Amino acid sequence: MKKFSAILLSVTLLLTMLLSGCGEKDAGTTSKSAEKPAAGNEEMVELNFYMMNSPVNDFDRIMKKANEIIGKEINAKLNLILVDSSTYAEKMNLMINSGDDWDLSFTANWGGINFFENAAKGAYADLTDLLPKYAPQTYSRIPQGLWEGVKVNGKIYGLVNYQQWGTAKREGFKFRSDLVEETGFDWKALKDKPTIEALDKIGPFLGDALAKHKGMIGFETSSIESLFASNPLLWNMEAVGDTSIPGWINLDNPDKVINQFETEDFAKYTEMMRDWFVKGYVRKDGATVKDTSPDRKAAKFVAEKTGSWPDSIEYPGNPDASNMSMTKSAGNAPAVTVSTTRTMIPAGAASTAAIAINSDSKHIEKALQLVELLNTNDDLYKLITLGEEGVDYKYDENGKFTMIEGKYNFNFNEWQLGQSYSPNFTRTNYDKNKDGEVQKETQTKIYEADKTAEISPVTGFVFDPTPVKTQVANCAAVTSEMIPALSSGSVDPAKTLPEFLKRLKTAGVDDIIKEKQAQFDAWKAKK
Amino acid sequence: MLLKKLHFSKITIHLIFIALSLACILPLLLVVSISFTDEQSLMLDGYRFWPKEFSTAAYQYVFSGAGSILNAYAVTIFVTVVGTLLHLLITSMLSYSLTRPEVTHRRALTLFVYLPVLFNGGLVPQYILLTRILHLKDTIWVLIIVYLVSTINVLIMKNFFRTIPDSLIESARIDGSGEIRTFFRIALPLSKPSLATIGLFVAIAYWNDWMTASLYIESPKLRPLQYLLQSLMNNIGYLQSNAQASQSMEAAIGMLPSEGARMATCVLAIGPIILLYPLLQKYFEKGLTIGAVKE
Amino acid sequence: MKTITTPSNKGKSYRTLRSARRQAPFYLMMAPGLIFITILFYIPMAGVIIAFKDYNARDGIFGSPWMDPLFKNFEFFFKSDAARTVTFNTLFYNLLEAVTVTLCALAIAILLNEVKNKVTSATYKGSILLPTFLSWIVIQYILFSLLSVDRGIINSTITGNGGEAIYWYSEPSYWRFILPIAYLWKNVGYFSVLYVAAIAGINPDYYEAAQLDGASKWQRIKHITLPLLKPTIIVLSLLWVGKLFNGGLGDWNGFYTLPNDAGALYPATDVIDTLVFRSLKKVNDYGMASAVGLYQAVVGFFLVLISNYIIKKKDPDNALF
Repeated sequence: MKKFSAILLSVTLLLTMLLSGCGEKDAGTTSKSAEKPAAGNEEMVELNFYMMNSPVNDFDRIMKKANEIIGKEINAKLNLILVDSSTYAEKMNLMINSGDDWDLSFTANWGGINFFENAAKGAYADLTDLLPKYAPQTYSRIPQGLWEGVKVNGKIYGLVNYQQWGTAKREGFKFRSDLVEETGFDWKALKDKPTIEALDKIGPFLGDALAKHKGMIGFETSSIESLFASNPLLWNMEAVGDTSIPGWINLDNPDKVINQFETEDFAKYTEMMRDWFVKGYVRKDGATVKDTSPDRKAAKFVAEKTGSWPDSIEYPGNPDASNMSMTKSAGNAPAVTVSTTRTMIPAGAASTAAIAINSDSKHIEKALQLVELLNTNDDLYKLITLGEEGVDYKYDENGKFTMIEGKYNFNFNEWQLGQSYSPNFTRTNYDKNKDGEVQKETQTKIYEADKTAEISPVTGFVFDPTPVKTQVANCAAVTSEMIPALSSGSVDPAKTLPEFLKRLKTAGVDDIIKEKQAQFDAWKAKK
Repeated sequence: MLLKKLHFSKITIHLIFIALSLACILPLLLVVSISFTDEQSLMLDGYRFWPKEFSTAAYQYVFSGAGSILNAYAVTIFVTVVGTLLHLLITSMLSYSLTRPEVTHRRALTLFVYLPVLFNGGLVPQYILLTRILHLKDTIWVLIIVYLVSTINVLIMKNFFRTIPDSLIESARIDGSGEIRTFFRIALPLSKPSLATIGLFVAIAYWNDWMTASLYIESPKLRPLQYLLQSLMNNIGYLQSNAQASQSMEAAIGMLPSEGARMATCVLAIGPIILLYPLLQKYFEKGLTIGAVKE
Repeated sequence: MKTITTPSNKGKSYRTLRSARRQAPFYLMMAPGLIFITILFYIPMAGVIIAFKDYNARDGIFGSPWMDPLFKNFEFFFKSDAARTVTFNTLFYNLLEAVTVTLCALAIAILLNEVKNKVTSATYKGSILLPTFLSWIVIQYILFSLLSVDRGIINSTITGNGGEAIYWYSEPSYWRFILPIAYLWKNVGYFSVLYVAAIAGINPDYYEAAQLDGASKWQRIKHITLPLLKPTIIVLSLLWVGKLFNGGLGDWNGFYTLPNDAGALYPATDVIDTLVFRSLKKVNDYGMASAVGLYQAVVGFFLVLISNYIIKKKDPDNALF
C-alpha cells in the first residue's frame, strides 16, 4: 500500500510542479532564465526576434559570435527564434492576440502574417519619430517612397527590408530560346504589349513548338498561381488592399474601384486559356496541380511567366535571366525574356518583407538600434546570413561562392533579417569573378530603377475589412474554388464565368467594392 | 456479410489477410523506394516500386540540413516515453474509479469527462493558458501536457475495466487489500492488453505531434524529431511557392532533392515508432482470462 | 444500477460518512485526471464566448466588446452559398466512415481471432496497423505517387497498357470514393486492434461452454462475441456521434491535405472545417472561427443527448452517462 501511495504522491507532486511552473527550470539550460547575461553586465538587454526558418546547423556557434559584436556595439543580446514557416503566421498571430512577449518579428502582407491588420490593431510600435533617430541609415539608405508602403494612417509601423533585387516590378514572359530560334518566333515584338495581345501571339508559337517537341508543355498553369488573379500589373491594374480580395483599380483610371473579374480582360483571358487547354498547350490538370517544380526541373516548359523582379528580365548578362527557372539540375534550358508592362513599385512592395517591433516591448529603442546594427554592420549581417568564411563557405578557384556542406546554412532567409542592399556591395555573397561583376552591375541598375520608378497610386492606403468581414470570407471561399479552374482552361468560360460572377454577387462582392471605394475616397481626401 | 465469411475456409481467411497486409505495406514500400531514387529520375520516369536510379542524396541532404538530429530523437523519445506512461497512469486510475459502484456520482463525473469532446475554446485560450498562466512555453513539459489526458481514451478504458469481474475485486477486499492497492495489484495487471492498446496509440500521438512544438517550443535544443523534419520540408516548399525569392535563390532551391527528401523524412520519422508494435505485441495476445464476465 | 446500502439502521449521517470513506481512495485516484481535465479543457472553454465577441488582444477574452448584433460572427457561415454542400458532405463522410470503419474493423477482429498461429496473427495485425502510424501528410505523398497524372503508378500502368490516363485530381466524383477509402485504410487498423483487445478480454470459458453445447462458430460469434463487444461499440459510436459535425473520430486533417487543395474538387471534398479554414485565412478572425466551432459543438451535443437517451432506455448499463 505504501508503495502505491508513494506513486500516487509523486504523480500529484509532479502535477503541482507542472502547474506552479517549476517545470520551466527543469527544462534545463535552454530556458530563458538560464540565458541571462553574466553578472557585471547588468544593463544588457535581451531582445527576442522571431522569424521563419527551418532548423539551422551550428546555430549556437554563430549566434555566440554575433552576440559578441552586438553586445560590444549596443550592449544587447539577440535571441533569434526560428519558427517553422508553415505555422509562423499562426504563431505570431497567436502571440499578438494573447499578449505574449516579443520584441521584434518578421512581418509581411502575405501568407496570413497580416502586417496591415496587425498595425491597424495597434500590435506594432509606431516608429515614425523613432526611426530617423535610432536607425538613421536604415531610414535614409533606401528609396524614400518605400516608407509610404509601411504606413497605416500616416504612421510608420514596419522597417522595410529592402533587398538587392529591388522592389520596382515589371512583368513579362520567358521563352525557351532554342525553340524560339527553331520556330522563328518574334518574341521581341511582345515588348510593352497588353497581355491579351501578347498571349494572342504566344499561342501560335506554343502550337509550333509543341508540334516539334511532343513531350513538352506549352505554358505553366497551377492551382496556386493565376496569370490574372495573382498578377494585377500584367493587366495594367493594381489591387486596392489585399490582392486576393476583389476590388482593383485600372492604372489608367486610378480613382474607381472595380471588380476585376467583371472586366473584359478577364473574360478574354479565360477564353484564351480555354482555347489553349483544348489545343493541349497547358496541362490538363492545371487547375489542381499545386507544385509545378517537377515540370520545371525536368525542363518541360516552352514558355512561362517570368519571375517579376527586374533581375530576371532583360538582363542578358545575368545567368539567372538566361535560363528557364529551376533547370539547373537538368543542365540548364536557355531562355530569353521580354517584359510587357510598365515599371512600377506596387503598393505592397515595401510590406513584402519588413520587421515590426512589438508596441508592448519594453525596449523599443534598443530594438531599433539592433535593426540599425544589422543593416549597417556588414560583418554581423554576413556572419548571421552566411556564416564564417572558410568554415561555412568559401570561394572556389574560379571565385565562385560555395557553401560547405553540412555547415551553417541560413536557408536563404536573409531577406527577413534586414536590408541586403548596400551601395558598395559589401553585404552579399557576390562571386569573385565576372559573374559577380554582372551581379553588381545589375544591382546598381535595379537601385536606379527603384529610385525613379512610378509609385502605385494605392501606396499607403490600407483597407480595413472589418465592416465586410462576412462578405470577404465568403468571396474568398468562392474565388479559391473557381479561379484555378477558370485560369487553367479546364472549364468552359461561356458557362462557368457567368456562374462564377453570380456566386460572387451572392457572396456580397458588391458590398466589398463599395466599402473599398468609400475607404479609398476617404483616404485620398485626407491626403 | 459476417455469416458468409464464417463459411470461408482457413485458406480464404489467410488470403484475405495477405491481400489486406499487402494493401497496407506496399504504399510504404513505395515511400522507401522514392526516398532512394535519384531526383532527376523521379521527374522524368515517375514513381516506381523499385528505384530506376538508386541514390542516397535525399538522406545526405536531410542529415546535413537537419542539425542535431540525434538530439531531436532524444527529445522525442523522452516525451513519448514519459508522456505515454503518465497518460496511462492518469487515465487508468480515472477510468477504473469511474467503473466502481462505490463512486456515487460516477455518471455525473463521466459527463464531466465527456463534455470536452464537444466543446473547446479554440487556440487563443489554449495559448494563453499554456504560456501565460502555466508558463510552459519553451519547456519540454508543454509537449507532454497537451496529451496527458484524452477523454476518448478514458471512456474506452472504462469499458475495458468493466470486464473485470466484481468477484475478483470483492475477494481482494475481503483479503484486506485497500482500494488503491487492489487497483495496482489486481485491476491494472489484468488490463495489460487494454493498456498496451491505448498506450500504443498515445505513443503514436506523442511521436507524430509537431504542431505543439511549432507553436510552443523556441529553443533549438528542445525540438522534437517531427518538428525538425517537417520544418525542413516546409521551408523548401514555402520558398518554392512564394515569389519573395529572387531568381538566383530559386535556382538554388531548384537544386534541392525535394521529393526524395520529403520521402526520406517520412521514413526517418516513422522508422523507430514502428518498432513499438512488436514490443507490445505479446500483451495484445494475453487477454483478460480470469473469472466470469460481469453481468 | 447498483447502490451501496449498509445493512445497519444507524441513520443517514453514518451511511454518508461510511460511503465517503469508501469513496475517498477512488477520488484520490481520480484526482490527477480530473484536475488535468479541468485545467486543460474546462478553463480554455471559457474561450467559447469569443464567438459572441469582437475580440481584440488588448482587452482580452472577457474585456473585449460584445458583438452587435450578438450573433454577427455566425452570419458568415450561414450566409455562405456553400454551407449546404459542406453540411451534407460532413454528414455523408462521417456517417459513411463510422459505418465502414466499424463494420470492417469488427470483421477483421473476428477473423483475426480465427487465426490461431500467433506469429501469423501478429504479422497480419502489424501490417494492418501500419497506416495508423502515418500522418496525413505522408498519406498525401503516397496518394499523389499513386494518382499523379504523369508520374503516378496507377496512370503509368494504365498508359503502359495503351490506356488513357485518368485525371484523378480533376474529377470530384472520384473523391467520393477516394476519401472514404483513405480514411478506412488509415483507421481500420486502429479500430481492429481495439476490438481485438476487447475480444481478448472475453472469458474463454464462455466459448468452451458454448462449444460443449454444440454451438457453431457463427452462433458463438453471434451470441457471445458480438453481445460482449456491444459496450465498446456503443462507446465508440457515441464518441463518433458527438463529433459528427467536426471530424468524427478520424479527424478532418485528411480532408485538408489529401485533395491537394484543389478548387475543382471542393464540391466533393469540402466539409465544414475545411470551408471555414479557407474562408477565414484571409480575415484571420478568431470570433468567426469560434462561432462555427460552437455551432458544431451544440449540434453534436444534442445528437449525443438524443442517442444517449435512446440507449439509456433500451440498455441502461451501456449509456455513457
